[in-house]
Amino acid sequence: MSKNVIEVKNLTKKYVSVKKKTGFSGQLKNLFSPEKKTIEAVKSINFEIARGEMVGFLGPNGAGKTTTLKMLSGIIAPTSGKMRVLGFDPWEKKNAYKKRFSLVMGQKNQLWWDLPVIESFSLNRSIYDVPRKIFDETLEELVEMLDIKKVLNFQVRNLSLGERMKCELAAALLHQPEVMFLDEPTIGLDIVAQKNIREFLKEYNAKKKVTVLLTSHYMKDIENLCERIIIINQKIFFDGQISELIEKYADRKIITIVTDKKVALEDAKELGVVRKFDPYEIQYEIPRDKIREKMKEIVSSNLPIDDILVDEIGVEKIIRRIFEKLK
Amino acid sequence: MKATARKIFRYIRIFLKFQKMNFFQLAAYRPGFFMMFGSVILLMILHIVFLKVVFGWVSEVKGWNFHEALIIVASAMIVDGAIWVSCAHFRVFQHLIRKGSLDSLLLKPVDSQFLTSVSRGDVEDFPRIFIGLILVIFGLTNLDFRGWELVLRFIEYIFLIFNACVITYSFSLILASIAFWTINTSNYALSDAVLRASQFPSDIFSHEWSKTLFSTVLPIALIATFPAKALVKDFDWLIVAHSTIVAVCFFFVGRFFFKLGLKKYSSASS
Repeated sequence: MSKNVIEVKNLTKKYVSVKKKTGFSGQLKNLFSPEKKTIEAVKSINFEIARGEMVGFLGPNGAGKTTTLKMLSGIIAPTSGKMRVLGFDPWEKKNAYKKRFSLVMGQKNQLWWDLPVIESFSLNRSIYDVPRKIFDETLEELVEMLDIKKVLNFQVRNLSLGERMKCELAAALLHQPEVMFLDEPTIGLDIVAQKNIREFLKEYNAKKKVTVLLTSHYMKDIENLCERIIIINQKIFFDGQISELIEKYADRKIITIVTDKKVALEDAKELGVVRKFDPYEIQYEIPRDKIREKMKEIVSSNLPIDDILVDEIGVEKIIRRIFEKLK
Repeated sequence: MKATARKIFRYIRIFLKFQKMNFFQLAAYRPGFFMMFGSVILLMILHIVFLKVVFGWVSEVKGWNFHEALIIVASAMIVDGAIWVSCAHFRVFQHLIRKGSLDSLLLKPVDSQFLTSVSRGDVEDFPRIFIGLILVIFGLTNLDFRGWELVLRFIEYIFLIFNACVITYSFSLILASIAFWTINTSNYALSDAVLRASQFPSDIFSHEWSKTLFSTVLPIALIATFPAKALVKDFDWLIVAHSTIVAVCFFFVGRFFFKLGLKKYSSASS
């Protein structure tokens, strides 16, 4: 058996969309002679994900991330290409496959809005045909890990967004899926709630070895949870470890000088373009191949140096630059 | 065999679970709960008052007297109520498609047509079934059927009502499924119009072509007039055969349409 749980080969999705014209005459034209155009949401992408891997799936808005997740979930049909998840072709929509994965969309709610949370959990037990004993054990474990005991009997509409997302995750995990597709699970949450969700996902993945494909616009989610990332913009732009991404795309490093006396900005500027300035701390962004040279220059300068630090540029900044380039 | 029986029981359990959830959802807001029940009951009373007014002017309509016609109205109420109590999603089907809300139903390991149909049931429509049954019993007590003949006729009636439910459900499913292609089309008004028209004796349509049309592709006659006929007019097994064939055809065409539509489903951006 292949160790890959997810295999995607030349997967393509095209949509036919009507180009909407504005104004009254435009609307009439839309009605009687619509201008159709084909949009390629996903262009011949390839990737494989092994069992237990947690992979960040990144890309700017409209890059095809959610479309890919929906194809892998069997919601929409691919235009061409092949995909296998847990040995199944998702588009065959087999119930045996549906029992083994979960899709959580941060912007969509699957819990019953006006009912206590526990009712939605109980409904999922019936739908997924989970034996009572296994359901009770799984629920107890999830309730403890997510700390949601006190909200189980609250109406969903009365929960905070953070509590609701925790309950959404619990609902999606009650049938113990082997694969999880997470589409922006922390969207709109405050920093503490985001951290809680991240910690839970990390712990759950370590414990259950569940395979996760995660999209998020919050780089903290990706940095904390994933070692590997796939960057997509209709086509795959990058697929590899985060460390490879830094090596490949971080063409600059950051030098931070800590001084023991106050320094004037004009003096700091003599060494180059200042990235960040504080009278006791100055930061420069230097091309990788110029680091040695710049260090010599700093050491021989008149600045009252107390310490010098050399850091990589953050992943978030690298990815932001890539997204800007992709646009 | 055992696996099939287990599957059927599982689907019944899921159906009952949704019914419970829908009732809890409705009961979550007390004033709304009573208001909705009240308005359905009022609507039923208006149907009866309308019938009474008509029969205040004439003693019969195309061979149907008041008590017989009352059974037609009651039968339409029962079918209407049964459909909306068990599978009311067709009223909002195009919204699910347009907003991409069908996604969460398609992910579940249960037949998609079944889940889409039963995941919403309007429990407030239950009085339609209850009042309908009372009216059927009231109508029968005023007619001259007794003993085994009445029992046989009633069994045939129940069977035809079941067929009528299948036909109405499938007809609504076919119309609702058009939204997979058109995205923003609600054809609920047309399926509702067919149900409304079924409250009148179909014999008022005297042309041969209209009789054929309304007992096949536009099944107005099959919903209430056929069951009522079996109960209070001619005892004819041909009616049962006709209704069963149309019900089976409608069911499979409805399922085919829904599955074809699912292939066109494009969801919506998140």
